[in-house]
Amino acid sequence: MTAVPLHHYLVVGAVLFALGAIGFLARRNLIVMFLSAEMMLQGVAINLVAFARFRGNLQGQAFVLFTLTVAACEAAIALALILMLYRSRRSLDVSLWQDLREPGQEPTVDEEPLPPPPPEEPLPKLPPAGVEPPHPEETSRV
Amino acid sequence: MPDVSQLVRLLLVEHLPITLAVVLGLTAVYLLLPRPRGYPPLWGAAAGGAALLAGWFVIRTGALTPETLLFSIFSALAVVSGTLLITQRNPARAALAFALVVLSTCGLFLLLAAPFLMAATVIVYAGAIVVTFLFVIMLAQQEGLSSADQRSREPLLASLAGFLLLGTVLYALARSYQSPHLNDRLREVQQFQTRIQGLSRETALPDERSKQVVAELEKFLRTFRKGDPQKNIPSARILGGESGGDELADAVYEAQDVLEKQQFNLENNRPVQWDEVEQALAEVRRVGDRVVNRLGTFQPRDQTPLSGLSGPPPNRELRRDAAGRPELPAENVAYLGRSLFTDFLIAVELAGTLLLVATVGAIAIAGRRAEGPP
Amino acid sequence: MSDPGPYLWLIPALPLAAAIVTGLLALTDSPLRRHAHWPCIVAAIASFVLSVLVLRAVAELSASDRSWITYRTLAEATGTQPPERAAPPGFRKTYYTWFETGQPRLGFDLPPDQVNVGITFRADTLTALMLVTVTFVGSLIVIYSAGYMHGDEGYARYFAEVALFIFAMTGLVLADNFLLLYAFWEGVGLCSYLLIGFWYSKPSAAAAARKAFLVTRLGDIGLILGIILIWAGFQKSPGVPLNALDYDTIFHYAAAQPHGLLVAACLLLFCGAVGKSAQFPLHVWLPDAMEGPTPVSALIHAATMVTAGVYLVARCTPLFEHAPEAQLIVAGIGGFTALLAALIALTQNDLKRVLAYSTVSQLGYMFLALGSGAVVAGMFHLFTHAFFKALLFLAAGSVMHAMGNVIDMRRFGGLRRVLPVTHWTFLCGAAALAAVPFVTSGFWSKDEILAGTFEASRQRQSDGWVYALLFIASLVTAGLTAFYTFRAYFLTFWGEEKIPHEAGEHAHESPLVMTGPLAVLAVGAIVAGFANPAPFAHPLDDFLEPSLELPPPPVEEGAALTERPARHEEVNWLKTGLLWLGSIAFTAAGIGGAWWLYERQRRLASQLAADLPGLYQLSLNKFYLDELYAVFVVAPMEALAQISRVIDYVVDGVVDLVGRLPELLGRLFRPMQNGLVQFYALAMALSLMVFLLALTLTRWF
Repeated sequence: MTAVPLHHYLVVGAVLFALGAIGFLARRNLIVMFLSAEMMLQGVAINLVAFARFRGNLQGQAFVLFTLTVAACEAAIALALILMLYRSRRSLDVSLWQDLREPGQEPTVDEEPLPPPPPEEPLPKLPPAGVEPPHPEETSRV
Repeated sequence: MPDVSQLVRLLLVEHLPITLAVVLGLTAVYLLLPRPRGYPPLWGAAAGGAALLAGWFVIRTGALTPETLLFSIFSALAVVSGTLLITQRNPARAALAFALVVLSTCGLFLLLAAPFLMAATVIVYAGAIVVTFLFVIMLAQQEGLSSADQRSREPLLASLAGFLLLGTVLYALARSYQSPHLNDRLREVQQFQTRIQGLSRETALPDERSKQVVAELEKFLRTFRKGDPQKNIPSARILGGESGGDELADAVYEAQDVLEKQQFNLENNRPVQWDEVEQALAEVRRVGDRVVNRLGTFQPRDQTPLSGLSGPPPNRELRRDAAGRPELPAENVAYLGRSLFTDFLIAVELAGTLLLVATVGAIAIAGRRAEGPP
Repeated sequence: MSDPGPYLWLIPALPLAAAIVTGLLALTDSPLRRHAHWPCIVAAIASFVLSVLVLRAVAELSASDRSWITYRTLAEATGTQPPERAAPPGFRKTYYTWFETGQPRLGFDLPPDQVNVGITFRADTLTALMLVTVTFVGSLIVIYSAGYMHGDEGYARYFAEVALFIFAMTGLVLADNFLLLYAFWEGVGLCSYLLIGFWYSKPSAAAAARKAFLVTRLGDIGLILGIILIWAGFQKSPGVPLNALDYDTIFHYAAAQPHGLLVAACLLLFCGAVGKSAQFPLHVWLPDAMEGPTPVSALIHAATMVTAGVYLVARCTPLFEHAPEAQLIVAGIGGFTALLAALIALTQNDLKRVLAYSTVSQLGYMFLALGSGAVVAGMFHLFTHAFFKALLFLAAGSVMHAMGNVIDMRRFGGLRRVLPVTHWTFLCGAAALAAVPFVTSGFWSKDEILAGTFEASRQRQSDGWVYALLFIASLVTAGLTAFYTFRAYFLTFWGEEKIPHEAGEHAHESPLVMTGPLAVLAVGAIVAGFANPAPFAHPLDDFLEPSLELPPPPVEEGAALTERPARHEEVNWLKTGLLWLGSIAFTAAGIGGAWWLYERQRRLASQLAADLPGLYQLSLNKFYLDELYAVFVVAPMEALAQISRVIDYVVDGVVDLVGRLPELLGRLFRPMQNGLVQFYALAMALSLMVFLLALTLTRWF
C-alpha cells in the first residue's frame, strides 16, 4: 500500500513557511504581518509533526504543543502592542514607525498615489411633493 | 565554479516540476500582492493555478488512496488559503484565510496521527487567536481599507526572497528524499511479481514463458545489484545508501541465489518453485520500501534521556506498518499526555508560567492609555 | 662633626613646599593672597639657616679630615696613582632611587648593563658655598620683593615661581649626579622662563621669555649630549662601573679616559654652561631677560641662575684638568665675552641693560678664571659678584620704583638727594663692580682672576700667548667696567635733578622692606672680599680645593701625612704689586673718564658719540648680533618651517583623505538605514538566501 511519504509533508510545510515569509516582508498591515508569522509557525508545526510520525515517537508533537503555547502568549502580547501602536498613530501601517533611521535621513514616503476611490452611487432623489415628475415621452405607440 | 550545464539539466529536466512550481508561484504571488495600480487578479489566479498543478507533480505519488487524496486536498487548501492570506487587501478576509490555513493544517495533523494537536490547534488558533484578531481589526479599521492595505513593501524582492528559499528547500528535499531509480526498480519488482502470480499455478513444468521470465528476472536482478554504468544506473548498495544499502543488496543477492536454483531446476527439467521466487521478490520489495521510507532520516543517538513513554528507544528496530512507516501507539493522545507529564514536566510548568506572565503583560500593556496624538 | 644628611633635603624641600602652598593660593582668589610672600620668606630664610649649618659641618669636616688631600699629594709626589678610589671629603645621602634600568647582560662574567640613578644630595665645600650664596641672596631678594611687587596682580604667582626657583637652584647645587643636575638645570630654566614672562600680557616680555627659553635650550642640548657622552664613553674603559653617573666615580676615572673623549665631553658640558651663563654667542637672551621684574633680574639673571654654568664648569674641574684644549676654549670665550659685553655696555641708555651687560661681562671673567685654571678665583668672583650685582639690580629696582618704572638714564638724573639710601648702596655696588682697590670685594676677586690669567700665560707652553692676550683683554675690560659702571652712576645720581613725569609729584625713597636688603647687600659687597684676600690669606682656597680636586701645594719629602700640608708659597710681592698697579690704573682711568665725561663735561660725551658715529652705533646696537642672528639663523629656520608647512599640508591632506574614505563609504550605505522594520527583515532574508544558495551550489556542483 502506497502511503504519503515524509517528503511530501515537508514540501507543504516549506510552502507555508515561504508564503508566510513573503507576507511578513511585503504586507504593511501589522495584523496581516502577524498572521503571516503565525502561518510560518504552522509550516514548522507540520514539519515537526511529520518527523514525529515518521520517527515513530511523540517528541515532535510535544514540541509543537509548546510552540502552540508560546504562539498563544505571543499573540496576546502582540495584539496588546498593536493596540498601543494603533492608539498612538491611529493606523496599523508599519511604515509609520521609522524613527530608527539614520539621523538626517529623509523619511520614506509612498511615491505611488492611490487610485481615486470609486465614485459613490448617487442616491435616488424624490421630487418635491405635489409636483408631477416629468415623464419621458413615450416613444412606442401601440 | 558550479557546472552551468549540469545546473540547467537539474533545473529544467530532472526537477522541472519544482522549477515550474516555484517560478509560477513567484509570478502568481507577485501579481497578486496588493498595490495601488495592480494587475488584474485573474492573471495572478491563473498563474497560481498553474503553480498548484506543477506542485501536484512535485508531490505525486502515483497511487490514489484515501490517504493521498485527503493529503492532496488538505495541502492544496492550505497553500491556496495561505496565498489568499498574503494577497487579500482586507485584513478581515486575511484573518479568515488564516483560519482556513489552520483548519487544513489540522487535517494534515490528523493524517499524521496527531489528533490531540489537531484539536488543540483548532481551539487555540481558529478559536481564540483568529477571533481576537478579528476583534482588533474591528476596533482599528472601522473606516474600511486603509492605505497600508493597498500597498506592499518591495513586492518583487519579498516574493523573490520567499520563493528562492522555497526553491532551495524543495531541491534539497528532492535530493534527500526522492529516489526515482529505486522507485523504478521497486515498480519493476512489482511487475515481475504480478507476472509470476499469473504463471505459477498454471503448470508445474517449465515452458517457454517461464524460461523467458526467469531470464529477464535474472538480468534485472543483476542490473539491480551491480548497476549499469552505461545507463547511469547506480548499484543497489548506492541506491540504498545510508538508509539500508547493505540490506537491500543482501536481499537482492538472496533473490539472485533463489533464482539460480530455479535456473538449475529449469536446466534439469524440474518444475520451477515460483513460491520461493515470489517470497524472495517480496522480501526485496519490503526492504526497498523500508529504505524508501527511511531515506533522509538520521539515525538517532543511542542514548536519550527520555523515557519509553515518548517513543521507543532509539536503538530498537521500529515496528512498521505495511507501507513501511513506523507504527504509533493507537491511543497516542494518552501517550502524549504521559510523555508531557514525565519527560517534559518542567517545560510544561514553564509554559504555564509563560502563559500567566503573558496574560499579565497583555493586560498591563493594553490597559495603558494612549500617549501619542489622539 | 655632624652629618647634615637628616636635614639636607629640607633645603630644597622647604622652598618647594612654599611654592606649592603659594601656587595653590594663587589659584584661588582669597584675601590671603596679599600675604603670599610669607611662606616664601620663611622657607628662604629657613633654607639659608640650614645652609649655614651645612657650611659649618662641611668646614669642620674639611678641617678635621685632610687625609684625602694628603693621600693625593703623596700619590703625586711619588708619581703613582692612588691604589684605590678615594673620595673627596663631603657628605652624600641617597634619599630615593629615582630609577634603575637594564638587565644583566647575557653571559657570566660581564657586569650588568644598568643605570642606577638616585635622588642623591651631596654636601661638600663647593656646594655649601653655592648654597649659602643662593639662599642668602634669595632671602634678601624675597624680602625686597615683598615691597617691590606690592599690589601686583600676580603677587601670589610671583612668589610661587620664585620659591620654585629657589627649590630648583638649591637642588641643582646639591645634586650628586649628572642626571639629577640636568633635571634641576631644566627646572631653573623653566622658572627663568616663567619669571621673565611674568608680565606675559606684555608682548615684549613674552617674546623675551621665549627667546631666553629657546636660546638656553640650545646650550642644554649640548649639556645632555655631554652627559650621554660621559655615560656611554666612560663605560668603555675597563673597571668603570656601568651605572656611573655620579660625580665622584666619573672624576675618579677621568684620567684614564681617552683624551679626545674628555675634550669632547668637556666642550659639550661647556655648551650648557654657555647657554645658561649667557656667554658669547648665546648671550643674547640675558639683556632681553630684563623684561622680568627687577628682583628677578637680580636673583636669577645676575646672582644665581646664570652662575649655574660657572658652577657646572667648576664642579667638573677634575674633567677639565685633563682637557687643556677645553680649558683654553673656556678661557677664550670667557675673555672675549667679557670684552664684548663691556664694549656694548658703554653706550646703553637703559640702566638695567647696562647692568645686564655687566653681568655678561663678569660671567665672562669667571669663565676666564675657570679656563685659566684659577677655579677658586672664579668661584670667589661668583661669590662676590652675587652680592654686588644683586645689590646693583635691587638699587636699580629702587630707582625704577621711585621713577614710576622709567629706566632710561637720559630721563632722570641727580637723584642722590631724592634717594639717599639707594644712592649710597648703589655706590657701594658700583665700587665693587668697578673694583675700587682694597675696600671692595670686587677688587679682591677680580684681581685673583687677573693673577690667575697671568700665571696661566706664563705656565702654559704652547698656548701661553693666548692667555697673554686674554690677560691684556681682561685688563682693558676692567677699565671699561669701571667706566660704564660709573657712567651709569653719574648719569643717575649726579648732575641736575631730573625726574620723569611718570614718577608723579613726589618721588620718594623706597620703603624699609626694600632698603633693608639693600643695606645688607651693600655691607656684603664690601666685606665679602675678605673671604679670600690673597695673597694675605687663603681661607677660601683651602676651603674649596678638596671639592675641586685641584692639585694641592706640594709637600716636602717626609712630611707627616696626617697633618694639613702648609701653604708655603713665597708671595712674589713684585709681581703682585705690578698686577695691582695695572688693575688700579685701569680702574682709576675708567672711573676718572666717566667722571670727566659724565659729570664735568657732559657735552663731551655726546660730542664724542657724534665724532665716532660708527663705533658708537656699533656698541649701541650690540654689534648687531641680534640682527645677525635674525638673518643667519631665524630666516633660514623660517624658510625651513614654510617648506615643512607645505609638506605637512600634503601629508595632512593624504591623512584626511584616508579619513574621509570610510565616511564616503558610509554615506553610500546610509540610505539603507531607513528605519523601516520590513526593509531590515527583507535585507536579512535576502542575505540569508544568498548564503543558502552559495552553500547549496558549492555542495552539489
